[in-house]
Order: sequence, then structure tokens, then C-alpha cells
Amino acid sequence: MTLRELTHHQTARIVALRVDPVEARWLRALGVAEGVAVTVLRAGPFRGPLQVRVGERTAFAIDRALAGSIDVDPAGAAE
Amino acid sequence: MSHHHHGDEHLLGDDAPAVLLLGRPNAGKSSVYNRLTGAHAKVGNFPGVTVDILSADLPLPGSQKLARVLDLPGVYSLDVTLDPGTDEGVARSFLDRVIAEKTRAVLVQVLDASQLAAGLALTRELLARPLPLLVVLTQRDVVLAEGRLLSVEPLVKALGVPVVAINAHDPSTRATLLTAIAALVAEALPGERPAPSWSADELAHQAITDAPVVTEEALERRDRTAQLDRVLLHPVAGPVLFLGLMIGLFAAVYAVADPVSSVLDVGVQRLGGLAERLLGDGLLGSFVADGLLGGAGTVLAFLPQIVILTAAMELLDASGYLARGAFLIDGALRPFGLGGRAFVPMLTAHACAVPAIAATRIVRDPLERLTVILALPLLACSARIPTYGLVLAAFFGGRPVLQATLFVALYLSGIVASVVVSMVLRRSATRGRRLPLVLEMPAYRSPDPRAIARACWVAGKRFVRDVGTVILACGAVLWVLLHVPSPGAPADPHPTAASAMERSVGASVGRALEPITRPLGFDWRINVGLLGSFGARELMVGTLGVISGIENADEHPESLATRLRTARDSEGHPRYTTRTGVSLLVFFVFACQCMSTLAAIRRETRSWRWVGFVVVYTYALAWVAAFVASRVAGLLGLG
Repeated sequence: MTLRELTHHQTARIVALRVDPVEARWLRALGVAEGVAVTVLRAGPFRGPLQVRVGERTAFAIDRALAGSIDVDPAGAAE
Repeated sequence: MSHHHHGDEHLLGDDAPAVLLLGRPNAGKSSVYNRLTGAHAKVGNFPGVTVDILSADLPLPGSQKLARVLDLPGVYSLDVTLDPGTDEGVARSFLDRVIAEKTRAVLVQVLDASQLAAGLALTRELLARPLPLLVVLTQRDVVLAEGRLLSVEPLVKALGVPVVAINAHDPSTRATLLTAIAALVAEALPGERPAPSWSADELAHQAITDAPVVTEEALERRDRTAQLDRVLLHPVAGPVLFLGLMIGLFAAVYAVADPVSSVLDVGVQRLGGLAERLLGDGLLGSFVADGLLGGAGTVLAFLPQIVILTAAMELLDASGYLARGAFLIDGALRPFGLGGRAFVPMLTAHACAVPAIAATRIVRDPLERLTVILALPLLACSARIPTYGLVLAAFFGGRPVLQATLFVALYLSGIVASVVVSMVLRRSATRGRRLPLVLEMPAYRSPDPRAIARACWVAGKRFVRDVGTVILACGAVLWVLLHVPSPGAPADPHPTAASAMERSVGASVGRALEPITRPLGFDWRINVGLLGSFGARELMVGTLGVISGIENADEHPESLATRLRTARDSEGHPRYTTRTGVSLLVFFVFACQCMSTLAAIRRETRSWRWVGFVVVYTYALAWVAAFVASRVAGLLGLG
């Protein structure tokens, strides 16, 4: 499933970034990388971006289109 | 200590060692820069204040030489840049040049200790550069208040570079930083460093540990941002609060700015009176009092708004709310091809387009940024308001409800026009790849009042420099045009001030434009006003006042409004009708009548092509819309 489909307040782990390679490297530099735990906190109004906690301490607003290209695994977050 | 503010051409090249400040956005880099360089430097990263690369020369302890501190734009990465036009692209190419030209330089990474793991990813990239590196950890006080301990030893050991932890509010910070930088400058160039063997997460866990006793208060502090977000980003309360805050901000800008402007105005008027007494009421006295001091008064009248809006923006930025605002409005702006960050320049543009164009730096996506720059001149900047007020009073006087409704409609027209134009541009002139929106939402922080005061000072200074000088110059030129008789004009049998003006060069130019403006109902008098407005639309009311023989029209628009309404042509017909008023209002909504804005567009786009584009599209739009409005007003039976 993708980050976009993740239930709010549910934590999952990023398994793949399905974007072009430069964008993927840039996201990894931000901390949005494979293996990192993510939690969708809320969605912005008018089909706005998602507020996502990335790792332990950082929060980003990520637009829905991009969130739909980030594959996550909810089971992976349990460990 | 001297300060510079310009492109990177002259930043390097003499023997002052360069100290490059680097860090993620929101890491506190600009605060560190301000701490180091003291007064006159600008602070804050979000509203695009690091437009160019700021620099300041400062003496280092134990050294005769000055070091040049350079504040580079905030970056997440130097190895990966999505586009050369983004902040990351700018910082990357600058650093590459420093390394290629073997400039004497050291790197100082400013790293938010409360986001240690994230910042260490950038450290890894910086360690791969062949330059001495110092890591400065900010927000030590926040880490401690959250019941955690910060220890630099694990970092020094793993990274192999000096690390200092500071608290930007602490007065001893400057000395700590200077000592560390002096030691760094004395360091030899590092050879190739071994590949890092540490993991950012593990290292962060070693450096930041829980305090032996974690108080209730500390636990509460850790949760504070999440709790505030629950309210401020609530699906219903969030947008309502945001809208309320923006309306309140506007109300405050006018409520506070108006009385301050009046006080400044009285001062300028007194000076004008003094000038006329000293210089006599001849041409020279009139030139100084009306041509120069009148312009100065106009400049000062707009200054308080700029300062108040800057203070509000800096406050919102430093507190962390600005990113929340962008989050809340993003969905609403997306259909128009804009993102949430565009709201900052769009809001600023309601005071003045010039600082707003500089503030578009906040928009990371280069094509989106260009779109915002091109659409900003349509928003109802405060310089339009005196003209709106005058025309509404002249043709809709005695109907306060209608006046107020039209006033709001004029504001909304600006907003609608700018988003529609953005949408059209995004499908034509600025079509292209969109960068994905990833906007960091930093923890809420208490702003540093000194930094905000400094930002206001700089914004005010820039406004006077960029806009003030243009208004002054245009006011002076306009005065000359209206007082120098046109060559070939027939002799004046009964010279009066009004008849002299009708024979002036300005009047001839105004008449020459009449064929173009006649369909809109404008005569040469309005044309002269529009001519002055091309320089700065602030000059419209004053110019119409001068032409109509009304002194101080800026302060007493009522008499000018009456004069416009009751003016008759030689055949006894009203010179201007409600239709003229409607078409003039609509013209003012669309036309980019401001040379300072055009200069700002030139500066930010580095192209005259886009300047020409804005002039052509806004004036064409203004003419067509005013023509249509005038016809519609005629059909509605307005005289």
C-alpha cells in the first residue's frame, strides 16, 4: 500500500520510493528514505497535503500525489 | 565591520578567508549569522530573506585579518539538487566554485540539535568536501527543556571535526562561535577524510540521551508541538483560525499604520510649509514643497504598513506557524497551479508588491515561483487604496454601503485576477514540470524579538531605497512636466496656475494619449495622472489634485472628489461621469503601474523579457477590462 492510503495515526515503514531517481535521492536526503518509520498525522483541507511524521522527530507536509508514490508496509513498523 | 548584499560576483577573491554557513532550513542558521555579525544583518530563512547570499566581514580573535562570513541558503542536501534555481542549487554551485577556485574557506554547519539525526545526513555530505568543517549545534536549550542531555563528545569522536553546542539567546554565544571559527581558519586543509562509519540515527542516540530524571514539565514540552497542531491544524478550527489571523493581520496593518502615517504626514507638511516660507512661493518653493516633499510624504505614508507586515510575517515564521499556514491553504491554491507557500508573497503583496516579489523565494519550485512573480502585481497593494477611495467618494458619495461593497469587490477582483492569471500562465508561459511539495513543519518556537526588530529595520530601509527613491524621482519629474510650458503653445493672455498647466509639456503628452484612452472615458488630465502612476500609482491622487488646483489632495481628498464630480467641459457637460469612475477603478485593478515592481521583477527573474511581459499583459488587461466595465456601466444606465 502507499503512504496516501495509510490510516491516520497508523505507523508504517517506507519500503520503496516510486519516483524518478533524482527525486528519490532528494527525498532520502530529507530523511524520507526506505526503512524509515512514517505516521500520517492529518490531511490538509480541500484535498490538501498530508502531515507526516518521518522518523522520530521531523514532520513534513507531503502532497497527495507524492504520497501515492511512496510504498509503505504497516507490518514492518511493529519491530 | 562592513556589510554586503549582492550577487556572488564580488563575494570572493580577496584574501579574507571565507566562512560559509550551511544548514537545513529552520536549523537556526540566520540566527547564528546575526549573532556573529551583529546589527544590520538580516535574520530568518522562511520568507525568502536570504534572497542573495548575505555576507559580513568580521575580525577574529587573535588575528589581524578579517574573515568574511557568508550566509548560504538553507539546504537539505548538497549532493542532490532538484533544480539549479532552488536554494539547494544556489548553495551547491557556490560551494563548487569555492572548491574549484581553491578559495581559502571553512565550512560551518548549523545543525538543530533537536533534529540531530536529520542534520547529520548533511554533515556526511559536508565531510566529503576538502574543507575544514565546524558543526554548531543550536537549540541546546530546547533539548534540555525537554528533559534530555546533549553531549558533544560522541559527535567529535565519530565525525573527527570540532563540534560546539550553543543557545542562540545566550550572550556568550558570539565569543564561543568566534573562538571556534578562529581555530578552524587556522587549521590546515584536511586531506581526504575516511568514509564515515557511523549511522546518523545511532550517533544521534549516543549524543542525545534522556536525563536521569525527566520532569512532568519536560514530558509536556516534548508533546507541545503535537498538542498545538491538534488545535491549529484541526480540520474545522484550523482554517477558521488561519482566516481569522489573516483578517486580524490586515486590520492591524491598517489600524496601527494609519495613525502613524498621519503623524509622519503632519511632519512632512510642516516641512513643506517651512520650505515655502524660506524659498518663497515661486517655482523653487513649489518644487521643493510639492515636487519633493510631497513625494517624501507619500513614501513615509506607506512605510508603517511595510514594517508592521514584516514584523507579523517574521513572527509567524519564527514561531513555526507560517509552515502551518502553507499546509492549510495548499489544497485551495492547487487547482490554480500554485502551492501553499505562494500564500506568503500573495499576502505581502496586499501591502506592496516589491517586498512580495522578494518573498517569492519561499516558493521552491522555479516555474511556480515565476508564475507567482508574474501574477503578484494584480493583487490590491495599498498604493491603490487612495485612488480607490477618491474615485468611490467622487462618484458613489453619500452611499456608504455601496462604497464599502465596491471597495471589497475591488480587493476580491485583485485576488481572483491573480489566481486566474496564474492558472492560465501554468498552462501556457510557465508550463512545465512541477516539483513535489515537501514542506518541513518545524516545532513551535518562541521568536527572538531582536531578530524581528532587525528584520523590520531592514525591510523599512529596503522599501525606502527601492520604492521611495522611485516615487521621489517620478514626483519630481512629474512636477517639472506640469510646470514647463510646451514648446509652441500659444501665449497665455490671462496666466493662472490652471491655464499654465493646460499649456505644459505634461498636458501635451496627456492629450497625445487621448485617442487611446477616449474609449475608456479618460481625458488628458487623467492621462497625466496615469503617466505619473506608471512611475508609482501613489502619485495619482496628488497629480489629479495639482491639475485640479487643489493643494494637499492626499490629505483632503473630499475637495478633490467634489471637484472631479462637478467639473464641466467648455459646453457645460460633466467632464467625468460615474462610467469614467468605474472604468478608472477597473483600470487600476489590473495595470502594473509601478516602476519599482518592474525593477523587482527584473532583479528576481534576471530578464527584461518578463518585465515586458508584465507591462504588456497588465496594461492590455486593464484597457480591455476598463472598456468592458465602462460599456456594462452604460448598459446599466449609469451616467
